[in-house]
Amino acid sequence: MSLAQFSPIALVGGLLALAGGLYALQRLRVRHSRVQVVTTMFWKQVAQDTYARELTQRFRHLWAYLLLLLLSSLLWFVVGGLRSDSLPESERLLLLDRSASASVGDHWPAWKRLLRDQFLAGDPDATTVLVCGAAPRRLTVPGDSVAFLDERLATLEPEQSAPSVEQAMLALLRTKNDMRPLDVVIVGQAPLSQRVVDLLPEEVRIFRAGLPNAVTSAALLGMGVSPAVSGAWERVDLGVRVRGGQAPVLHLAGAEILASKQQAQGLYLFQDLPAGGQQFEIQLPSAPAPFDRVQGQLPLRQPLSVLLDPALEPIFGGVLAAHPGVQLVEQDGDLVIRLASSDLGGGLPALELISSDQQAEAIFLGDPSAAAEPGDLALRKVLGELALDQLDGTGLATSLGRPLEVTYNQASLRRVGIWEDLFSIEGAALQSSRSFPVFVGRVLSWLADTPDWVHTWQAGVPVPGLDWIADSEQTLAGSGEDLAPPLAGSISTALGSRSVGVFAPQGVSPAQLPAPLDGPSGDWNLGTWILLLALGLLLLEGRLVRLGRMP
Amino acid sequence: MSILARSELVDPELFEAARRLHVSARRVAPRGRFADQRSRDRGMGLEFEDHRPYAPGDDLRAVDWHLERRLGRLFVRLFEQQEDLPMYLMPDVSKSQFLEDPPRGRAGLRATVLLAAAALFQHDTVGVFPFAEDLITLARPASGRNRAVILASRLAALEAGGATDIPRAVARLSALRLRRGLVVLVSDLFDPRGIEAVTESLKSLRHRLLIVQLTRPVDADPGLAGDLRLVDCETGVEEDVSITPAVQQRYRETYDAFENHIAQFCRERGIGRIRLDCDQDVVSQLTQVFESGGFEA
Repeated sequence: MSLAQFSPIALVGGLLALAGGLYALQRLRVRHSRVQVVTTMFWKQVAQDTYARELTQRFRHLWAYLLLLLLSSLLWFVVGGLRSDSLPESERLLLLDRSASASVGDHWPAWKRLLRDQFLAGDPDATTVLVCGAAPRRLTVPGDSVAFLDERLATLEPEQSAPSVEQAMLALLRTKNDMRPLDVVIVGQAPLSQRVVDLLPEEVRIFRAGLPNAVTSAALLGMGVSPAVSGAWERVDLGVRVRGGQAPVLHLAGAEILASKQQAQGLYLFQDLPAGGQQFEIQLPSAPAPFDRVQGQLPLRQPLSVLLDPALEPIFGGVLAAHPGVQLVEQDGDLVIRLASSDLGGGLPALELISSDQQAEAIFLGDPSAAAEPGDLALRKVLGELALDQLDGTGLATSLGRPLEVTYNQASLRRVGIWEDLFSIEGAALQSSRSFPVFVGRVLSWLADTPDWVHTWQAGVPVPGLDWIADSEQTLAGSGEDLAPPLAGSISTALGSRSVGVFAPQGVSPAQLPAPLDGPSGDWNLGTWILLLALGLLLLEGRLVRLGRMP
Repeated sequence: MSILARSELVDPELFEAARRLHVSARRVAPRGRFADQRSRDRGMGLEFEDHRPYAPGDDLRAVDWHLERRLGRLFVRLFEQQEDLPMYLMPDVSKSQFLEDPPRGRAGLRATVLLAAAALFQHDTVGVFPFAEDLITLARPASGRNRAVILASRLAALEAGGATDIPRAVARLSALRLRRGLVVLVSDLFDPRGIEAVTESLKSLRHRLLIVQLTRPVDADPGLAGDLRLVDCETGVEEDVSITPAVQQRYRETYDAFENHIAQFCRERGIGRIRLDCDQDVVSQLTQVFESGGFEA
C-alpha cells in the first residue's frame, strides 16, 4: 500500500496529529445531560474547584476515542490517496485510434465514448491509455481517474495521420518486462498486421472496440504506379484500390479521367499515363473525407545516355536500339558498356565483359551501398533486380563446362562484370537467350541507380531521401532513413511543396479480434471502499450517540 | 394557580396538633396585649415580682399592708404582666419550594400553619409574610383562634414566586417596624447569594428568630453522576459539571460547610433551629420537637 499524495513521513505525522487532536478533544469532550435542580449554589462552588474539561482528568471514553481515531484515519488515508502497491493481476492498455479514420463521420465522439466505457470497465490502477495519432502519446497512467481521462479527452481532436497503433505495440514489446497478463484494447479502425501480432508474447491478448463502423464506408485504400503494360517507356499505369462500389476519378492536367479498367474487385487501373512528373489527384466521390481524395505525382522517365564500346556493338547494339529508354551517345553518358580492357567512360557505372582469367566469378556485382560482407538476402534481392534469376544458369554452366558463381560486393561505383565466355558459347550464347533484353534493361537501370518512384506522399509512410529533401523545420516521424511526413496536408521540400495524403486502412486485420470483455466498474477502487467503510462507521457512531452508548 | 390544594393546609389534623403545642417566650416585649406570655411589664399578673415605694396614683389595692405594718411605710406589690407573643411567620414560597415531588413547600406551609395555629390558640398575635424575591404581607399581626383557618386558606391560595432573596425579605420585614416578637423563617435557606449573605442579613433583625430549615436527604447527597448540565430552577443559571466520586465528595464537604455555618450562627446567636425532613410527616416532627420540652423562643 502506498499513498499517491503523501510521503510516509507525512502519513505517519498526519496520523499522529489526528490521534493527538482526537485525544485532546476526547479529554475535553463532555456531553451534558440537563438536570433541573433546586439550587446550583453548591455545584457552583464545587465546579470552581473541579473543572469538568480538564486535560489531565481521567481518560473516560476509550472506545469512543478508538472509533473516532479509526474513522479519521480512514479519511486521512483517502485524502492521502491510498492505493495498493501490489501489482494488479493483469494490466490493460487502451489504444485510441486518433488517425484520419477517427475524423470520418461520428467516429471520434463514438470512439471516445467507447474508450471511456472501456476505462470504467477495468481497474484504473491497472489501466494505461495511449492515443495513437501521428505518434503514440500517453494519455493516462495507472491510478489516474476517469475525471482526468475526461479532461484530457475533451481537448483531443483527430489527426490527419496514419494510425500509430502498431508503433505503440512495438514500443510496448520493448518495455514490457514482466509476465503479467496484458489486455490490449484497440478503440478504432487502426489495422494491426499479423506480423506484429505474431511478435506479441502469449500473455498479451488483443481486443478491438468499435469495429462495426470500420468497414462500411467507402474510401480510397491505396495507389500504385508501374511501368505501362503497353511497354511504352515514357508511360506508366496508375492503379487505385478503393472500398465501395463507385469508380474513382483521376484529375490530371485539368482533365478528368475515368478508370480505363477494373482489374479486380475494388482495384481500378488508369493506363498509359504520361510519365512527365505531373501532379494529379484521385477522387472517390462517394467516400467521406479525408479518404475521398489523394494527390500524387507521376514519375518522370527520361532516356538513359549510354556509351557503348564499338567492340561490343554486335552483342548489345540491337538490344539497346530497341530499348525505348536508352539513348546511345558518344560522350557525356550516364553509364557505359565496355570491355574490361577498355578505358571508355572511365568513372561511370559500367557493364564490363571480362576475361575469366581476370575474374574468378562468372558475374561480379559491385555496389557502393553494399555491406562489406553482404548476406544471402542482399544477394537474392539484387539478383531479382537484375533478372539474373531468369537466366538459364544451369544451361550456361553446362555449355561452358564450368560452374557459374555470382558475387555481390562493395565497390566504389556500381559495376557489373561478366565473363566474355558467356557471350561466345556456341549455340547457347547469352545474347541469344530470350531474357537477354530484360537482363540488359535491368542491368542498365540498376547501374543508373534510378531512385524509386515516389508517386504519392502518405502520412506515416516513409519517403526515401526525405531526410535531405525535407525542410529542416518539418517535424518528421520515424528515424534514420525511414522518415515519413507525420500528417496529411502539405510539406515543403527541396523539390518544392508536396501534398501529403492519407489512405484509409485496408481492413482491420486481423479481423477476428474479439470484443473486450466487460470487467468490474473502475469506480470501485480502494478509496471508494474506504469511504464506504468510513461512512458506515459514521452511521454507527451516530446510532451509538442516539442510543446514549457514546458521549 | 394556587401552589397547594386547600385541603393540604386547612387540615383538622394540623389544628388538632396545634392545640398540643405551646410556644413560649422567655420574655416578650413590653406594652403588648394581655395574654399568656411573660413580659417585662408589671401589672395584674399572678406572679409576684417585686415591691416599690408607693407613689400617688397607685392602685391602693396593690399596697402591701403587711409591710406597712412592719416598716411603717407604704409599698405597692408588683406583679408580672402576662402579654401576648407576636409571631411573624416567613414561609419561603420561591420556585424551588415547588419543584420536587412532593414539594418541600408543602412541608414548609404545613409547618407554618401548624405554628400559626399553635400561637393563635394561646392567644398570641400572628402575622404571615411569605417571601420569594420579595416579601408579601399575607396577614398583618393579629390574634384570634379563628384566624388559623383563615391564614391556612390564604396560604393555600398563594402562587409560587421567583428566586429566593432572603436578605431582601428580611430587610423588608425590618422596615415594617413591627413590635418585637418571634420571627419564624421557614425555608431551605438556598439563596443564590450564599448562606453567608443570609446569615448576615438575619443579624440585623430586631426580633427573636426561629429557623425552620426545610431539608431532604438528597440535599446532602444528590446521587448525581456523570456529565451534567445543572439548571437552577429559580434563576435558570446553568452549571456544567462532570460528577465523579471526587466531585461528589467535594459536594458533600460543601454542603456540610453550609450546615455547619447555619448551626454555628444559631448557636452563637441563641437562635432556635428546627430541621424538618420534607419527606417525613411535618406534624409528627414538630410535635416531637415541642413535646421533648417544649420550645422556648
